[in-house]
Amino acid sequence: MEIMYVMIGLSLLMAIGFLIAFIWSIKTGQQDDLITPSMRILLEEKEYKNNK
Amino acid sequence: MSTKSTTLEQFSYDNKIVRNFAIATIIWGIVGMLVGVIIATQLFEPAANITQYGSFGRIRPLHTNAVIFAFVGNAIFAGVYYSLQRLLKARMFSDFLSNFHFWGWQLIIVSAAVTLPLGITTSHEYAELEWPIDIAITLIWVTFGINMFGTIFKRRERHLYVAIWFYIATFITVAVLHLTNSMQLPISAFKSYYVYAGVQDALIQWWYGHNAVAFFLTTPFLGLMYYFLPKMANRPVYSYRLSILHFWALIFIYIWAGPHHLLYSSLPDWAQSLGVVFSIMLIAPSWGGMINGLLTLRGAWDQVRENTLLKFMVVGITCYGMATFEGPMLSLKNINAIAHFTDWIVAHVHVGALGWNGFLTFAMLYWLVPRIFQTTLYSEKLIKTHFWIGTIGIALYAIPMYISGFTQGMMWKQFTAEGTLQYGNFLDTTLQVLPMHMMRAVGGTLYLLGAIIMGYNLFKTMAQGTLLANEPAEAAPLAVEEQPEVGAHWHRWIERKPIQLLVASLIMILVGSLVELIPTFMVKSNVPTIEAVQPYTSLELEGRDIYIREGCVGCHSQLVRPFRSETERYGEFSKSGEFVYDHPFLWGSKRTGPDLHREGGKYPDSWHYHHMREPQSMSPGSIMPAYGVLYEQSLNTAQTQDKLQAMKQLGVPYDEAQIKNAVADLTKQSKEIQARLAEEKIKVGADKEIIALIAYLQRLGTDIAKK
Amino acid sequence: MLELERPLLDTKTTCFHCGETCEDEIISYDHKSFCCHGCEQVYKLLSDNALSDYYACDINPGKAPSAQNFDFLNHPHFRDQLISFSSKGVSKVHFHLPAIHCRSCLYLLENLSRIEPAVVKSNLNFGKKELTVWFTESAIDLGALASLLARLGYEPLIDSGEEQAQQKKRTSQQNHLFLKLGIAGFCAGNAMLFSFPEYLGIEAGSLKSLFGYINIALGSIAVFYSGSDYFTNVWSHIKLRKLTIELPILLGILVGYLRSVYEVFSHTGAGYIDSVSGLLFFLLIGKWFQQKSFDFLSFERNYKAYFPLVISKMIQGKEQTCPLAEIEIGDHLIIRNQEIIPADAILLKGKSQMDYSFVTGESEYIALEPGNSMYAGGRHNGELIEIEIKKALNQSHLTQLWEQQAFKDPNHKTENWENFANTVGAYFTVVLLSLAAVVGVYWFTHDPSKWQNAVVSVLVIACPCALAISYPFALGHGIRWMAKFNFFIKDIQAFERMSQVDAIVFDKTGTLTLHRDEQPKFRLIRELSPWEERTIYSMVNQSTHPLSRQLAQYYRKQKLEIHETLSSIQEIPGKGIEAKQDNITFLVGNARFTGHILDKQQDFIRSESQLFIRIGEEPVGYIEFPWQNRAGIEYMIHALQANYEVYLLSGDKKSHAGTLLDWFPEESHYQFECSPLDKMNFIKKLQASGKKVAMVGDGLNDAGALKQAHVGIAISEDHLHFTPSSDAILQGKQLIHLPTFLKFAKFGLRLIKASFLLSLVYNLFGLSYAVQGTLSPLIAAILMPVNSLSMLFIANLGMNIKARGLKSYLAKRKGD
Repeated sequence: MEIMYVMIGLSLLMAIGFLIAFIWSIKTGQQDDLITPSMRILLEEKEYKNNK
Repeated sequence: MSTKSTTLEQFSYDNKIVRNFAIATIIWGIVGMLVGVIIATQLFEPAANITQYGSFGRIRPLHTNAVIFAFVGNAIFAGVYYSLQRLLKARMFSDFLSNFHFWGWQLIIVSAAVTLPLGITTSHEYAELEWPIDIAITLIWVTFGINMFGTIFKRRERHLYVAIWFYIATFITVAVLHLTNSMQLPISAFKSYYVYAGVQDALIQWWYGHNAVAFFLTTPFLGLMYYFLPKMANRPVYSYRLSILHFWALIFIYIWAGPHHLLYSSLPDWAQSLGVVFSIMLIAPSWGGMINGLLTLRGAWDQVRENTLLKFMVVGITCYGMATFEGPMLSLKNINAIAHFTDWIVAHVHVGALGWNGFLTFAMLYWLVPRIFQTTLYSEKLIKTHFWIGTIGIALYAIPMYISGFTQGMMWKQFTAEGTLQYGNFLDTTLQVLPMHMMRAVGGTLYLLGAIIMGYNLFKTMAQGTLLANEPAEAAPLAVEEQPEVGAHWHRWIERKPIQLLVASLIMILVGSLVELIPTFMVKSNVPTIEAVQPYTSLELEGRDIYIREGCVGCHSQLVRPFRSETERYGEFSKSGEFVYDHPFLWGSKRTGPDLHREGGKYPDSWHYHHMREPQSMSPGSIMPAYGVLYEQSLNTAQTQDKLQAMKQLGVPYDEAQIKNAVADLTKQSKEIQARLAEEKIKVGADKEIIALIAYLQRLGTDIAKK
Repeated sequence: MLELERPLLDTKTTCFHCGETCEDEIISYDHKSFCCHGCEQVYKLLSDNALSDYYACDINPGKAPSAQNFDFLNHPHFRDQLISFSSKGVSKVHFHLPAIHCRSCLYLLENLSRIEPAVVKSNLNFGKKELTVWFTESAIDLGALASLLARLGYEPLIDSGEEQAQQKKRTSQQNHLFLKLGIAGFCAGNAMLFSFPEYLGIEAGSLKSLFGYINIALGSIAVFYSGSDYFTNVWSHIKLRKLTIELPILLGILVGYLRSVYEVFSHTGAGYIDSVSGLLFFLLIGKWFQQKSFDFLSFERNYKAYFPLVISKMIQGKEQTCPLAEIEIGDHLIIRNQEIIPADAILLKGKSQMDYSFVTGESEYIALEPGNSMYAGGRHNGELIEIEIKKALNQSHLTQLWEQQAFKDPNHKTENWENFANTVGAYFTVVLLSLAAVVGVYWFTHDPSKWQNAVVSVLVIACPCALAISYPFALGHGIRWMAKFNFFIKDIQAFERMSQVDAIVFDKTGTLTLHRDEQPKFRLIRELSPWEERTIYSMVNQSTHPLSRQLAQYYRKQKLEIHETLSSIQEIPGKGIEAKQDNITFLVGNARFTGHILDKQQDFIRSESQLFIRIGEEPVGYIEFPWQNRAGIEYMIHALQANYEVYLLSGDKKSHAGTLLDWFPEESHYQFECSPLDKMNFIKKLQASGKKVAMVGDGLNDAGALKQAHVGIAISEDHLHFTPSSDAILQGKQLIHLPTFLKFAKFGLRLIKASFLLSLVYNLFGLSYAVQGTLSPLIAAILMPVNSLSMLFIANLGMNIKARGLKSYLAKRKGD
């Protein structure tokens, strides 16, 4: 079942890729403020009020 | 009056590309669903199979590809191109790439729509497209990636909103999966064989198949949900922290859940169990998304009452919750034993597709089209109609399918007191569920109707408004110290901290071992080989390719699971060693018709001859389409030699002689079959395709029998 | 009985900007009404800059603007402290804006650059109420920027450099922990994956060894990176010769890890990597969860934070503002009404009613004439005065308190008390090690092949991780819930100490008695003429009786003039003041003295809160003052006395204690006229007698006691208000619920102990295998997470249910 090597390898590679992304996000303070961004996106552009 | 400040940068959002993808979504959506309705009809009315190009086996993949990659795909791109620009306060990286991406993707869809009815397919579910198109997909996907990351790099908003994380995850994983599952050895422009065989091929395929669902139908839509739901409800998401946490959890686990598609297959038990465990663990993060979505609307239910868009979202998210709960349940071995191969799976998939993907897409389109066209929706009434028709459609689709699936699962396993199968004739079980199939078709039609109404409503909306092709916007650039540092930075933190070093080195090791391994696994395989199992003869191989071309795998599995009910019905259960020469594997995932792995020698050639020409003549009431063309078209042997050659390269032990005499052997064997048929007063040219097919069917699963 | 009310302006019009009811005048602009010109100005400013959406996001989102001048920020002393980064002429500054409260704030503050072009960009952190601004300093200076924010209604709270530093430290610690947590999770998840073939006892063939190695790699990351804190902590404890709970935990982890390494490399098994990393993951979740920090308040303020940041100095007869740090002996300072004396000094010009209540606890004002000396921390009431500094700030009379031991060593509390976990930890370690030894020896003598396995599994399975998990979760929930009731507790240690308290000491002024900042209510049969009011003002202005002072203060606020002279005036103690002006006799005092006739019950309250007036022969009614004691305080004291010894401390004269004393019958249970130092020593005395003392106080004068006590609880009306350094900050209104809160803390600890017992059962179960040397990694891998999870579950469920009950109970209390 050598195919398992490939799959595990790839999966682990991806997982580690994401792990690095995770580390990056912490290092660069992406995760510092987990309240404001959710409100910020609501202020992007003018809303068309007449949309129901 | 407004005093523009000097420091704000002026730029504009590209709405044109969003519109293009939106329109594509609508059109392909309707097409895909239409095909869906057609094949649904074929499942109770064989006469609906018009010409070989419209036969179920060939257009089922058309349906799946159209809805997944054309409808959902374009919807994803529309949503991403709209939200990404605004979340990052930047125009897309390159307009050229955007357009290249758009037209490229449409071209791929068109080519799929052409090749699939022509029977050009690899037979890997959701990856049927042949290698040239695979390459095109890769190219376009990379284009999309460059465009997205380019935008991320020139962004003006430092924080990457959670939706963007979901987009990134989607891009990376889909890329890797697509590449892994497209390792084919081309024979001609339109024919190739997978480098993996049997069990290994199956494993790779379902690892892909599952994650395709995960990362094409789930993560991007969670991203879209996290952007559009707050927008529609005009309130921030319930818990942003939770959204971040469940993202990482989802990402770390999802990858592993693939093998649960192969329970009771010849896959090693531990790999199966592994898939199960991780599938169960998936409930937590998946529901994290659902709960977060629904709770966002807490205290706003009055809004939901009058806002149809939110109604769409609520139903969609609920369906997501149901599907993500059902999925893990289905992966439990004992439930899977009943549900697998039945309509249950079809129901499960469509709850997700119609509810989650469909409804979210609809809501999204209704929301953004009027915005980029600076107008309001053409008709509120029509949206309401769409919502109700759609919802009823889903119900009418899912419920009958669940019943049907359960009925099938039960009947297949039903034994009499004497210990013989209650429904020994598979056909009985099929006839039993036909009414359900009819209802399903009605449900599907309603859903399609809803989509058409939406199309009309949205095009009217576009007509009454004018597209704001470049929406002006302004934002401050990233501050100096915020700007993404250049490569040097990465070195720094890798060197600064031992942990990063460890991680980095771990990757290096993996890459190394992969490079080492890939060549080895292609040649030698430690799947227990069985002496008796021999490669297919050239004729059988050609027959197998016809089997693939006609998409027989769509209705007939080739995997007898180790249950008494199945061994009673079909014969000895399948061993992984029997598939070592199967490039690709043809286990299938659905039993609309009986399993064929032990078909060889069950009936005389003549039975197959008649059955293929007019199935109802052999099994009255059968819903299998007739394959008249196989009796007119003569087999094209131009590539037979190349095919054997290719197989040899993939490790199938053909010797030079076999390859040299490929065609000769082929003609010889077909003459034998022709002779056998002649004994039963059947006149047919030895060169007809049906002969090859019969040869293949008669060979199926016979090897282990011969001592 | 007199029923006349002074007509109060009562209108429903609310300000379009800030939503306050428009008190005296209503300004209308653009068809909208505003409570003041400030609000109107902000509205103009926003609409002129196309920012009217501000009002779209939320209803009356604004806050009334302040005219506070921030020019002093331009002084290098502050500028350098505030500007965190500067390059290419663009500077970056963080402002703490307590007023931030809604989406509109976000909208406005992040669009600052539309109002002020010199602002490059601005970024808001809603949770920390912190605004980061990048601006071109050449175009606008820091002071102007701060003033702009104030004008918009977001007055920056300039806190001392050290507080900012602390916050930074906290954030980076949290990030670090989050990182370790994530990585531990990653390792645990994947390790579990790769251990699977082993568990199912299925032949994974050639993959097996590869899996083993990957596992080791993952395990190493988990143990040595994610678990690094355990190494450092244990090491530091060992150096202090202390046994803590962390030691046995680390032992378990380490042994498990090393064993796994051995097994993998010797191809004898798959080891415990997944259990070990999983355990670490759970432990870290716990650590992460307990880190609830209230970024918007500070528990660490010392007296410096109480003083003004800037003072106005006289330099060659010219007034000039400069930072506090720069005052020297001999400087002449200008002090305005309600300003604080920054250092011991003597009064040069003007008269002052000096209010020392915050620093000494005496509620009486001290009248000062030129030449009198005054002490740092006093709050000046009255006209503008000039003073001369006599002592440097850090040697002043006030600051001697901070010379005390309690302030010198930062963690004197953490060392002087027994943390349940560590107490257990100590015994645990001993028992565990001896057990391991016994088992080891036994097997070594009977069946040497088994001894390693047995010892390892004993150490692994018996590690008291359960306690280390239920602890942070139970207590973490504790402080979270308390915060919901406006009781902010510094950390879980403080919460645990609360559960151990058996004696409670209250400060009087400002704690049991309210801050006197409310309006007096006039219950008079007729309006007083301005002249009459002036006369009464002049009378009470000379009295030191608390009620008189309140009335005087009220009139001062009204900008009322006092008569130059009163023809005759005399104060009759216990009765009131009598004065003659233009041959009309004024009497101000209690009812009998002023000839008002009242029935009994009113007679009872009268003494505390009412000031009766008689003009000539006419009893004109009375002026009622807000309650002196906090509402419901008697009830609370009564409730506490059931389970605790309750004490009263005050810097005040006994005579001002009023009805409070009825609740403290025993002499030994109260002490008056005590200096800050006395209070501290009082606590010390109690502690010496083996008591675990909770101190409840509000002022600087309580700082010592708060610091010394087992738990120091500072009372504050709103969390922006200055509070001395303490373990917890309790909102004044909630003080009456103190008994309930203490009960909750007790419950928390009981819960932990209960769940700990349960975990012991798990451990014994595991041990029963371990001692026989038959513990398979699978059992370990199942048992440990199950154990951890159930601990987690109990802690969450228990605390939440209890707290919910608490909530509804308090709600009911509010009801009746």
